[in-house]
Amino acid sequence: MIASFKSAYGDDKLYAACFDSLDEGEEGYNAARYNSEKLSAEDKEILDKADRYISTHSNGSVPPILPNEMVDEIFETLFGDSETAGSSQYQAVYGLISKQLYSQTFSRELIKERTEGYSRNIRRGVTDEYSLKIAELMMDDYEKVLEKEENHRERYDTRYANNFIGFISSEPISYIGIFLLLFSSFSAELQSGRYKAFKLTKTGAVGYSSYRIIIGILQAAVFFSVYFFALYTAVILSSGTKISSMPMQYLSGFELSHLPINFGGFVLRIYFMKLSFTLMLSAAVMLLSMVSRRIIPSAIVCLIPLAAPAALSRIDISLNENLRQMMTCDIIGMNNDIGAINIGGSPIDVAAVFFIAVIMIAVCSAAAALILSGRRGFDA
Amino acid sequence: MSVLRVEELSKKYGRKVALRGVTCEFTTGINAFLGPNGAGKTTIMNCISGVIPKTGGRVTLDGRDVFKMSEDYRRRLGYQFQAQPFYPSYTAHDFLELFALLKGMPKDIIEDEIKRVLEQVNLSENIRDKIRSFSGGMKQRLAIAQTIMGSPEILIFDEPSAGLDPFEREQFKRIMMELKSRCIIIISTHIVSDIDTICDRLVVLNKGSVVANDRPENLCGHIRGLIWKIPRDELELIPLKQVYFEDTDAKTVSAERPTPNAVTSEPTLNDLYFCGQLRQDIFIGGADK
Amino acid sequence: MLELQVKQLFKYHIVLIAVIIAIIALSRVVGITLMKNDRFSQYMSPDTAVEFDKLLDSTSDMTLEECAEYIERKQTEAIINGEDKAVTEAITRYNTELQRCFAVRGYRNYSRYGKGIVSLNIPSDLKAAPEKYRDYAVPRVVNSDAFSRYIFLSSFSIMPIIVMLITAVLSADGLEKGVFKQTNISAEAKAFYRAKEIMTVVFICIIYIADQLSVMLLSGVFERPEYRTSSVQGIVGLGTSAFRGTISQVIMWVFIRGLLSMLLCYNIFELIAKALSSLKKYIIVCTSLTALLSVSAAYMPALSPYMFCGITKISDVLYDLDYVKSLDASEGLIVIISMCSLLGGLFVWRRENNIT
Repeated sequence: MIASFKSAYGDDKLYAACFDSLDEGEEGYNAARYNSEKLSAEDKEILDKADRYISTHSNGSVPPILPNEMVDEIFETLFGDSETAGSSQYQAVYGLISKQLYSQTFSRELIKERTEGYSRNIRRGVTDEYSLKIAELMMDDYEKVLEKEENHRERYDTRYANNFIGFISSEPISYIGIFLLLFSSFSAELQSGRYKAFKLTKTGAVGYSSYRIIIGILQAAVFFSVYFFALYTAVILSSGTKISSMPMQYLSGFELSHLPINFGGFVLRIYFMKLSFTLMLSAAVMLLSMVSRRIIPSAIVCLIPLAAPAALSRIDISLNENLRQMMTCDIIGMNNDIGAINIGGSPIDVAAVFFIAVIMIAVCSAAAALILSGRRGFDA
Repeated sequence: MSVLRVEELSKKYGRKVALRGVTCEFTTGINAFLGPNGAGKTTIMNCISGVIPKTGGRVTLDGRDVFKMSEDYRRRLGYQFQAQPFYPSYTAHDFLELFALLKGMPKDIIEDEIKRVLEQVNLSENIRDKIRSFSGGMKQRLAIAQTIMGSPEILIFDEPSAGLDPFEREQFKRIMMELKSRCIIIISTHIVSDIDTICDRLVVLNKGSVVANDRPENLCGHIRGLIWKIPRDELELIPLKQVYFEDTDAKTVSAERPTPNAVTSEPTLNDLYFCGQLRQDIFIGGADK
Repeated sequence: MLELQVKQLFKYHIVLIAVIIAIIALSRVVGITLMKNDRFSQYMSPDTAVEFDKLLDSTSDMTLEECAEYIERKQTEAIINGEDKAVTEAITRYNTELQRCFAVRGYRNYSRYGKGIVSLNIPSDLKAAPEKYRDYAVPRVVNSDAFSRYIFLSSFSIMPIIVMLITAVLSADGLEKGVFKQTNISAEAKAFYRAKEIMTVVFICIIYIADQLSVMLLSGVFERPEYRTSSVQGIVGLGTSAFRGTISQVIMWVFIRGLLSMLLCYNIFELIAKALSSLKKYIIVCTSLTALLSVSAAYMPALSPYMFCGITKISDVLYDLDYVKSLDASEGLIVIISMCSLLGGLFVWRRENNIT
């Protein structure tokens, strides 16, 4: 994640210098946007000048050679030199800052617009029950969000927080860790013949398997928790502890989230979401390990449930969007907006459905493994 | 007649000393290592054959260092591991064919040789069966077949009779008797009956050292008069840890009559084994180097 | 010995071969599906491609200026005659590619003569490091879709997992069972290991070549004759690449680099198998190593050519290849030389130490 920070945010000093020079609130956003657009305009002016030269001096499709003075001006303005940053770098930094500040500056406005929209619909007499329920639910939640935001007038550097959310939503490392920890949990015992010896003890096959599954799930939970909170610690160390109390609506792309929680609370929410997904995969991997019976086949087969979320998130197949979000554990998709599913005409929090679904799959996988282990003749 | 000589062979695993300057000599015939578990029998055989590197000492064949001989030495060697590794999916034929080629046997004689050795170990009917379907005894016999295939000059067997039934053990002894006139055979075992009637030279090991090294009859001579049969009703007169049981007899090793009605017994190799554990001092000065 | 090993490979490991083929086929199907779903792809429609190829055929012997004149004429005709969408799209695309060729020629001229830039898309190091651009060949207009597809499909490689599987079955499993202990004290041990090495390396090479050929066939690079003569700088995104060569040479470089990295992967996995003598640990270590290198390659593009990864952004690798002043060539050459040296060293060291 640190490497991804560095690759995304090149010059940290330049960013800090520009960020600190801006005023608080909307003025700061406007200044950043103005600077970004001004620099872009300046660059554009030089480039437009060059473009006009090209247009007017073209011989059909053959472009003309730009005069040296024009080329030197482009080099100096856009790229700068070894001592000073060029305008393109400043423009990139201010562009990034304005994107960061947009959520912080306009989240309240956007939410108010939406709640007004809901009120308008009610006044107009919308009869669709589901829409009315959604409106009621959202308006309650948005009210709490606005109350929360009322108390926050600070400005936050949300680069690391944004990167953290983006990274955790699509990172493969936890899945690789699950694979390494658990792919051989049963296949090694079965292949070596030790499983036969365990079967003959007082604990028996089912008892042994249940201990193994519990230990495996605990291992996965510990691994994921250490990994997750190590990443979060990196965010805290980079952004400071105050980032935890920032409203989560200040994150880029989350302006209209209805969750009245701060960033720290949001981190906990996604921790539990990812943790439950990881545990579900753990149970599935252990079941496949038992079914495979040999180490090499289990190494291949156990890759499938771990690679499936990544593949599904990239392949465009016709699938209900909520279902896709849950199958791929799309943290951003499940939390950045209304985040509700229509079940029986009532809006249900997608996270709740997600939790229930993954827990059910985990339990079913574990149960299937236990049933298989108890079957007479299994392990031959 | 070839002579395989081991001089001051030592082996350490970290701080643990597995072999302490073992010196002995093997000639054509059946040479046996006898000793309890952990005595160093497998270690010495692994060192002789080059499976594991030795820490010190020399192993020579007719005066030449075997590890310098390298391929030439390996060509003359047949080794059966204590737990012979197999590819379970291979058939007996394919497994032996692989090792025939590994032993450098000419291709035109391999098929006949495979049939010959399988017949010797009573596995002719299982030539096309997969090894995973074999019982423990069948696997052991296949391991023996692999070892004798190609008629190598030096045959080393590590616990060859583990898993064999009495008939198969006798069959093994017959094979050894057929080969003894032209091969240096080294057998390690802690089952005395494997070698009591067939071995020409016996090396008794304990805790990495040679305790006794001589022809069995000479070694038995050392302990003549020391082996006593103890009547059942007198067993409680001596500490139980000094007693060992052979068939229906309870015996002990003692320089003088241990109980009032104890009777001397003509020493066997089994008695020699227990002597080696209980009274190593018997052999010091008498053990042939 | 080799004959026996090959015979036993087909007899006892036919399932392995079938699984490998199935995995590779599946990975390529997934790759093609991802490619088709790539929202940012700018591939031409089949009709447009046909028209584009006609334009290429017509201008194959022309200079850039003549091509410009020709396309200008074609544009006018299209407007007057009201040509269909495919034709106008092809003409627009051709013009875009043509402008890129002019731009690259401009970089070269600027680096040689201090003037010549014709495009607004100027490399930031053109002034600071002009030697990189001095010997650029002037690119020709090409149908770059096939190459873009090739790059996309080459970015996903299941080969490290395949090599891990092959080495697991042929080496790690035997080491764990202890079968090689017996082999080591056999007369023909050296011949056995030599034959095994040859068989495994050839097997891996065949799998790799089959995989790469499938990528080339699926992407259509074989059908593009212009790739043999046009420089790679004509491809979008590679206009400033330090790689000096034709598009075909780039494809060959990617192929060779990939092959060398798979052989490196094989050697390293063999060393791991020998060191661990445990199948479970072997899989854990090899999977971790592949994952680590895949992640590292994304953030250390300069070192990524040397890594064997599940995901290698070939376009980034090509883009990040640096210019080596002392050799007056792109770093691509150094990559191949370094990998060959490393590979040679590993093979010799393993043989010397009987690490098999």
